[in-house]
Amino acid sequence: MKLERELMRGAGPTAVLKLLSRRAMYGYELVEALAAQSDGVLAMGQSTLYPMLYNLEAKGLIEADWRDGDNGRQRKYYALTGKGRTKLKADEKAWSKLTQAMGDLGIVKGAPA
Amino acid sequence: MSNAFTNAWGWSIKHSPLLSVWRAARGFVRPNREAFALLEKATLPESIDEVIRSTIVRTKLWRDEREQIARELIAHAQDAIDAGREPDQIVSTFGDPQRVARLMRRSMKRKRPLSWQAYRFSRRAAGGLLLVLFVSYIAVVVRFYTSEPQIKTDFGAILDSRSDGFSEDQKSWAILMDCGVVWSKIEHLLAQEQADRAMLQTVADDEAQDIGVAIFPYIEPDHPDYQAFEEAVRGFAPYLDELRAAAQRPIIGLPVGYEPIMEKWEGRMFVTGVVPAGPDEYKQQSVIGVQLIHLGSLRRLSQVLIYDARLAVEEGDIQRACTNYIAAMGLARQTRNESILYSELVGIAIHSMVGKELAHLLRDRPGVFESEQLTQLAHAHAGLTQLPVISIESERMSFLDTLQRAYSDNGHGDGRMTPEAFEYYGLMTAPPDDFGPVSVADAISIDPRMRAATMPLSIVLSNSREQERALHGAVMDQAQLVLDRGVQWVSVMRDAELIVEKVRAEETPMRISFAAMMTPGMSQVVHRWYRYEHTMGAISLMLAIEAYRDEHGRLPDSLSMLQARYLPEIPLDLMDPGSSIKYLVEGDRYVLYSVGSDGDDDDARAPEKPVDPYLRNQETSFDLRYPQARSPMTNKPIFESGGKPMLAEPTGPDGDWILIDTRPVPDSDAEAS
Repeated sequence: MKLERELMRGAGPTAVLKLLSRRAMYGYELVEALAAQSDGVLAMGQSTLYPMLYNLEAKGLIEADWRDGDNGRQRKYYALTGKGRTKLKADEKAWSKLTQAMGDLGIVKGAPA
Repeated sequence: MSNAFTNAWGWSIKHSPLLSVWRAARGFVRPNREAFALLEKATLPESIDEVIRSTIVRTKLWRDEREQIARELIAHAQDAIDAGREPDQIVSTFGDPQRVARLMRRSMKRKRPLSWQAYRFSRRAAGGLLLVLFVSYIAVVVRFYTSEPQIKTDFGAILDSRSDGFSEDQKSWAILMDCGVVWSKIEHLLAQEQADRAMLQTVADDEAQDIGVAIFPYIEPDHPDYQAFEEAVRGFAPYLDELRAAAQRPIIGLPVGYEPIMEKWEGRMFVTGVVPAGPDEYKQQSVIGVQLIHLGSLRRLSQVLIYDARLAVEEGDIQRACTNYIAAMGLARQTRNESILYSELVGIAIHSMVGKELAHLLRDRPGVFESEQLTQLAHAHAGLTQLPVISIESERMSFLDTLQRAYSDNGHGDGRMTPEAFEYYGLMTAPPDDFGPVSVADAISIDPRMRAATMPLSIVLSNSREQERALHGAVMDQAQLVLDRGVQWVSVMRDAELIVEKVRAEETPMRISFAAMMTPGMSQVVHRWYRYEHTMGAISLMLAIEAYRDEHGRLPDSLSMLQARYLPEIPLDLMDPGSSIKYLVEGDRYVLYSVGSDGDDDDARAPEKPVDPYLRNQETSFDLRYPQARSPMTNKPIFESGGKPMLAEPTGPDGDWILIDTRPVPDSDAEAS
């Protein structure tokens, strides 16, 4: 199951920031990780991912640099900035409250009461 | 510290406007060069290569931005291939290149330097502003072109009602028009001969006419054209008989609702007659355009009468001269009776001209008139002195008529400018010889297409109907106040006139003002009226003095000797409250004068140099400059109660206003010696 565009527009950046909070990642790696770790719910193609990354970069939430990868080819790695970390914390709080509210309404099953 | 400096330096470089310009400029030359080179080098499967190329091209980004995207997409594709994805699968997850390119373009632009962002913002703001202006302008255009004037009042009929109760044989206009056309043609030929003689064959007809006009009526016997002129006047004798008879009629009676008949003769257009307009034609015919057509002709015919009087005096036919002066005063009376401001002014001018001519005649030939002739002259003169003060009501009507033809009407006295206003404005500002409709483009020198596009702005930039009415009305109200209350209130007029002058100075092709164009110089009008009052009083005195001389064989010692028997009242010197016009006797000659604007009696000594430029070339040093108020406007009478004038700066010149002077003209040779 994939999210509708509007839901993805809200959830996608937070998911990307969360993945990048663990370590710097390159584009394809992010695509794979999002698909694997969200059971395909947050899977997104290049057409969605790269514009999203450029937007986050424009806002100063992430930064990018080209590095040599394991296979010797260059890849563009994205990493969280201080500003991005702050934003992520705020987003996590917001999502937590949202999930709780949805749980209270019985929309989200198994959410903490 | 060093790191901070490096960061700051790097930020400055990155956001430098020059760098942005350079990057943008590079995008115009082979924008895909680096991106495609990377693709060549990557040797991706053809389907993937094609999708990435297509996307890169469609982003329409700067050259280095396309290179960045290409590198990233290539790396992504290579990673996918390394992970075992099939090219078709990679292409299918890529999405529509058009959409991808659009999303990429938007997000990449957000990363651009601040200088570019500022440029984009200002461009968008300017675009937005232009859009707002455009939409507003469209609204103005629609509002302008859907407005139309409503002519509700037939001012022509109101003016024509002055002739109610008079039969056609009591009106002189038809005879005046016939005589005027004949004399205009004679004068036209004279002017052409004059131009030929002056070897000005290359001069255009109009200029040739100007030369003739400039000389007439000051032509003297030593002028090379005098003989031709004299012959022309003698040849006009049959018409002069008609003219003398017409001048005895009560009114001119020219109807306002007429159409002029034009005829081209010897290269010039003449108004040869009029035909009555239909009942609805007043809607096309403004009061302004129809009421003044005869005035120039009237003035000319009066001058011809005076010239014929000179010839009569030379021939010893004093009765004919007397009859001519009486006829000219009759024309002045008829003209003033029209109660139209410009007619009144022409009437005043004709009457003043007769007075001056009589003074000259009495200067050259003292006691020339017999008792009966003096009585006839006095009666004709009294017909004018009994008329009421100059009327400015017609001027208000003319202006209101203009407003109703130029502005829309909201039913409450206000309205906005309409397209007809511009046509009307052009018609009114057209050269006087053009009788047909004249486009405003000719009148105000603006391209018609530009005019059509910019005219609607006038409803924003120009005055509303009510503002125009108020502007014009303020000047007229103040003029009326001065005419009602006396010359000592003359300074109050400057307030309103200054406002009109300011509006006039600020006129543009898109900001026109009928009030600025049409409001007459009412200060001059009022000055002229009071000058005329002095002149009328002086002519009355002159005729009474001559009657006294005829009866007693000598001049009266003082003006009080004239009272009752020769004059019911001795005319006042308006510049010396409570006192009569001054009288100075020198042998068998006399002078009538006012103390003038300095308020001092200088024993009939004229100011050395007339201050008013209009008077510099005139024989009488009659300074029109009544004291003007200083700034700020005082709005106070210029006289102390019962005292001398409180002269504001600038004061009038030292000297008296010479009204009638029968003293011999000083011999210039004797003066020089």
